[in-house]
Amino acid sequence: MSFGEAEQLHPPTAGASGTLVIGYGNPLRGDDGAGPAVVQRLEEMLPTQWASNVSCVVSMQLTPEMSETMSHVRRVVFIDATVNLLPGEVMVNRVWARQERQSLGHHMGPEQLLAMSQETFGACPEAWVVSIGVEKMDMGEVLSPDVTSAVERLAGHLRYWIGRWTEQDVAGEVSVDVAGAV
Amino acid sequence: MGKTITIEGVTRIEGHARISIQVDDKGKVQDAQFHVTQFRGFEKFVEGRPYPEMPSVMARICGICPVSHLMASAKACDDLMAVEVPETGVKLRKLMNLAQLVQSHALSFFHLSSPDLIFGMDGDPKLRNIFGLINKRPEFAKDGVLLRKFGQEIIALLGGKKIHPAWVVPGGVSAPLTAEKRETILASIPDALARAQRGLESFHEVAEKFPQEEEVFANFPTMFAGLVTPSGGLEHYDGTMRFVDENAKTVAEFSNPKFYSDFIGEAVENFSYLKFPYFKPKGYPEGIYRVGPLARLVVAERCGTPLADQELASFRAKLGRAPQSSFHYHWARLIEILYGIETIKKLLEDPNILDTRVRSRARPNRLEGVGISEAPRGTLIHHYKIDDNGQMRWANLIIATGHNNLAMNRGVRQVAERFVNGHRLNEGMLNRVEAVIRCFDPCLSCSTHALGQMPMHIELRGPGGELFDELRRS
Repeated sequence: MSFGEAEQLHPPTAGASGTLVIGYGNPLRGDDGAGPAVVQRLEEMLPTQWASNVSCVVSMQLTPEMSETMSHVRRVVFIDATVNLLPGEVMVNRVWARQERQSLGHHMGPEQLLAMSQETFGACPEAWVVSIGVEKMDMGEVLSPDVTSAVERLAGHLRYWIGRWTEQDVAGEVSVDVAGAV
Repeated sequence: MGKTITIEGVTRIEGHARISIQVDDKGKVQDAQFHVTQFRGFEKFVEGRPYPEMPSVMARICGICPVSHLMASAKACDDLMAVEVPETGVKLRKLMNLAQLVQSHALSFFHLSSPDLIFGMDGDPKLRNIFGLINKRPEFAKDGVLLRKFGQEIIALLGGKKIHPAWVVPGGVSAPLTAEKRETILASIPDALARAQRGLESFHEVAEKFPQEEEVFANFPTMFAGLVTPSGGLEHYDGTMRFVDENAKTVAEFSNPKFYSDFIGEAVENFSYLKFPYFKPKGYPEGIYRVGPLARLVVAERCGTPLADQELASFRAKLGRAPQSSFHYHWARLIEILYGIETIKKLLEDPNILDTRVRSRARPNRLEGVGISEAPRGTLIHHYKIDDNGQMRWANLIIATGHNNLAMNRGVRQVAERFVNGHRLNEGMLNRVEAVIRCFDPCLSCSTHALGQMPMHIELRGPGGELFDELRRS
C-alpha cells in the first residue's frame, strides 16, 4: 500500500518522537536471519542526519528490557521471519499492547513487550510487525534468493517510511499506517 | 495399576520440557521425571569448522545468555593456543561475564520467579504472572527490567550492538575499553545497586511465607560444585573447580580444567535429551551435586565485596553454611547480583582497565583444549579437540542445567510427594512442581542447545488410558 492511501492512526504519545526498528531472528539459521538482515541493510541506507530520530536493534529474540527503550519512542517496527507467508512475501500488520499471562518466559512477543512498555514505563509506541515469508531455516548464514530480494525491497520501504515519519514528527502530524502487503 | 500425570510444557523456563509423575492406585506418588524434549546438538555440527570460529559459533547456543558460551569457548581456544591472556584482557572478559550474570539473574528472579513469591504458589493464575506483578508492584517490576538493561548495556558497550559480537576472541578481547565507556558504565552503578538492594528487601518481605516450599523444594543433602579464587572466594571466570559435601567440606579440587573428566561423568537416561553429569568418584546416581548461585555461595568462603559479604553473612546466619533447600537459590541469586555490580565497579576502577594490551596471538599449540567458567546457572565446560590444521574434530559441552539435572529430577519427585494428590489435580499443585524447577532457572536451550516454548497441558490418566482429570494452560 502507498502512504497516500494509509489510514491515519490515533495521535502519538505527547512528547515522544523517533522510530525504533527491531530485527530479530537467528542469523545462523538461514532465512530466520531475515529480520537482522533487513536492519543491517537499512542502516546502510539511512542518511546520517536521521541518526537522532532512528534507532536500530538486532537481536536473537525479543527481551524484556526492550520495553524500556520502546517507551521513549513514538513508534516501533518489529521485523521477523514467518513460515506463514510464501518465501519473499512481506506483510505489515499493526499491533497493539496485549497482556498474555501464561506464555511469558524467556520469550516475549511484540504485543507483550508493548504491554510491558505501557504498564511498566507508562508509554506505549505505535507499532507494526513486518513478517517476511521464508523458505529455509536450516543451519547456515545464507538467505534464500527470494528472501534476499525481500530484504532489499523492505529496507527501501522502511527507509521511505522512516523519512515520512520523521517529517511528521517535525510537523507534529499523526503517523500514517503502513499496514498491508509490501 | 498406577497412573501417570504429565505436565506438558513447563512454563517460565527457557526451552521445552515435560514433567511426568507416576502415582499408584491410592494416588500416592511413586516416581517423577523431568523430561527435556528438545535436541539440537552443537557438538556435532561444529566438527570440521576452524577452531577460532568457536566462540562466536558457540555463543549462538543461547539467545538469552550468549556471553557464557562465549567465555567458556574462548577459554578452551586459549588452551588450544597455549597462551596467557593479558591481564587487562582477563579483566575485560570478567566485566562482560558479570554483566551477563546480573542481567540473567534479574530476569530469573524479578520476572520468572517473583510472581510465585508475590502472589503465593496458590495465587490466582490470572494474577500470578508478570503483568499481575506490574500492576501490584510496578516499581519492583521496573527494577527488574532496568537491572537487566544495566547488564545488557554493558555487554553492548563492550562488544558492540550487533548480535553476538566477536569481541571476546581466542587470546583475549578484540578491543580495549575506552575512558568514555568506562565513565558511562560507572555512572550507572549507583542506580543498579539501589535496585538490587530494593529487590533484596522485597524478597525478605515475602520469603518467610514459604516454609512448606523451603522444606520440600529439592531439599536433600547433595554435593555442591563451582569455581573459587585461589584464596577460596566467589569466582565466575577462572580459578579452582571445587566440589564440597553437604556440610561444605571440600572433597575434591582441580585447577587445570583438563582434569574435569576425572571428576565428572555423564550418564544418560532414556526419558530425556539432557545428560546427567555426576561426581565420578561417587558413581551414578550417588554422585549427585548442584551448581549455580546457591552452590557457588556454598563452595566459596566469601564473596569479596562489602555489600554482598554483608548479605552473605545474613544468609549463613539464617540458613547455615550449606543450605540444602533449592528454594534458597532465589536469595543466592540476589546476593550474586549485588556481588556482580560491586565487582563491575571494582574492575572499572582498576588503574589498568584501559590498558590497550588485551589480546595474545598464537597459532594452535595443542590439539586439545578445555575452558571452564561460571554461567549464571552454574559451571560451564567446553572441551575441544582439533587436528593439525586447526579444524574441530570433536567437542563436548557440559552445561550448568545438566549438572543440576539429577537434583531437579529428585526435586520434582520430592515436591510431588508432598503436594500431588493423584486423584485430583489443582493449579497450586501444578505450580509448585514447576516452581521447584524454576529455582534452578534451567536453560534448556543451553543444555540441549535448542530454542522454544509451549503451553502447559497436564493429564491424569488411568491404566487403560482413560482421562481422569486434566489441566490446560493456553
